[in-house]
Amino acid sequence: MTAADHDAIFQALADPTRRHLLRTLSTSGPATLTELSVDMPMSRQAVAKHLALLQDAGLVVGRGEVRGRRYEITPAPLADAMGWIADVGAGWDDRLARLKRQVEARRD
Amino acid sequence: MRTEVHEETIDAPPEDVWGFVVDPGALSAWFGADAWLEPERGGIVRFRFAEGVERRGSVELVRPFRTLMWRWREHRGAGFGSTIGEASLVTIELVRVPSGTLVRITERPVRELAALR
Repeated sequence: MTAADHDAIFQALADPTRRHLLRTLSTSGPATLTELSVDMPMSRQAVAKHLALLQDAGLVVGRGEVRGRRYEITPAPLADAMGWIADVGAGWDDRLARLKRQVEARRD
Repeated sequence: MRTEVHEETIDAPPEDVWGFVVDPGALSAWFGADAWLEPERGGIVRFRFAEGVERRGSVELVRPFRTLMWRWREHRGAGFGSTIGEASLVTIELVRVPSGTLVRITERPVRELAALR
């Protein structure tokens, strides 16, 4: 997975509406645009735009004909992004920064 | 893997920093892994990271308050499908400087070291 892929994933996750859509798809399973728009305080078109961004990031995939197309979550990119987050803080610079904090805290 | 060198200056003398390097409990806290280390030549080195990843090896060199060097490699998973990473040499050097201690960590792949010889 490239840096551009990560950019797209984290950009997709940066918006509360898109996080809400992801959570809904994750807990309730595949859904159509109509179903997803029901409880949203915005137009169907606005929800469609958010869904398109989630699709571009590879987090969601639409299946079936345009009418009645069902959207579902694709977990692999999310797992990859989580791996990226876990790696941050595991590098030598992060370890050295923690060592410095801990040694100096004990001296104070 | 390529050789990495990282440095940080700490506002404390090497005598104060050394314990953080060789004490398994203190080492675990700044390393971000469950660490076990026997600070003597040939001693066991083991770091348990999240998700079943371990780095294991042995101590190569101990010069109290100055240098700790160990060799390790990554072990991921167990049995069928497990993987073993490339061996590398980690050196932690403590250098006394006017403001305290310069800590230099070098991680060098063993294969690169062999090429130098």
